[in-house]
Amino acid sequence: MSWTAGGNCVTAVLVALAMLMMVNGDSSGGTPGTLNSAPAGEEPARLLISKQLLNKYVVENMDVVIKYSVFNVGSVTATNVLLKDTSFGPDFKVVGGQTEVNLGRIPPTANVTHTLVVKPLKFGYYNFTAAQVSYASGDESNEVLQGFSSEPGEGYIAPFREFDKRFSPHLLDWAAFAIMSLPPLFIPFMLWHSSKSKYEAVLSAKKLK
Amino acid sequence: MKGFLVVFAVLTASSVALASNCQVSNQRTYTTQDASVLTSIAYITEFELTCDGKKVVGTQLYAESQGSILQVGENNGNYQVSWVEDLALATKGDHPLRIVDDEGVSVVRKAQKTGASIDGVKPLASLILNHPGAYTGPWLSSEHLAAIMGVVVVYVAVTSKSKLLA
Repeated sequence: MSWTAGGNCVTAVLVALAMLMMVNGDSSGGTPGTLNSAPAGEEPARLLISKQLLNKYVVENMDVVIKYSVFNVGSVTATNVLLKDTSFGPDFKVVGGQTEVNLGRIPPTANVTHTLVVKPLKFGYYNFTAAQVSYASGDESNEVLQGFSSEPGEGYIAPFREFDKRFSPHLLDWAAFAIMSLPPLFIPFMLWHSSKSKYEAVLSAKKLK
Repeated sequence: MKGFLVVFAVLTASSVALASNCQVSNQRTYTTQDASVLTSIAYITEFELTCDGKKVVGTQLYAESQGSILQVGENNGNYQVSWVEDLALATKGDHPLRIVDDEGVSVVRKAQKTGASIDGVKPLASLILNHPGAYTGPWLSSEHLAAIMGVVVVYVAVTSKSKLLA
């Protein structure tokens, strides 16, 4: 099952991307390395967040599966991990999952995934932006750390009609084609059949004589 | 020391409270059923948990499914268990989930480490996530079907012609 991160190249690439994109800082503007809550020499909780679209095509009014993976690469448990994705506005309908979720505690080297399913209500180009994560490093820290997920980036939401035209079984079109191709097959067949039965009638009459 | 004892007592009391009579309500399940545009199937179930008549809010929960432990997300007492599965590996049907708290998950983990059976671990609640299966596109594309039908018509025509000429 895909909540285990091992061996997934795509995830590894996204984690690397998330690492590059992550904005990490406390409410007072300091760097995570200077947090008071972490004991000396111990790195505080650091979360890397990847946001992936698990779609081959993004199509209007069809499911878009978004998977958020949160990795704690620090050496302290991340607490009160709050994942919030406000990037889906009124142009999307959330059909499964929550856009704002408390993931609780994430121990060091552990990862947690969250899944959301949305349906785009409009087509066209759309910029899928980052989700936001706030958390604390350890149980005693009051400082709220902020992190951002990787951004899937701009993608094209195809109109349903276009998708249907390209990928549907076109049963109606083929049925029309079958009806249209029937007369050129059926008329010669009937002509041949009538002449055949006439010839056979003559033949059988001759035989009887 | 005193503070530690108080924390321990509160934790014990809360876990005892949770371990008693818990019920799942308002369960909503969503699984992706049209996989023609997807690479993975999403399994999502949301629920509320009531223990001894009180709605559980702000408690860290875990879901155990076929030996795997999933962290349960929460939004104001609305819990969510979700995972994704590759299209080729996705399984349909009932997926039983056992909801446990911190204490329960440590028992499950301990049992998994020692190789003991986890069936004896009593969950707070049990859920079923049903996935009826997903449509991944037509089994035989219509253009192939049309081609096969064309070949059949040609075959019938050629055989009947050769029969006549024989």
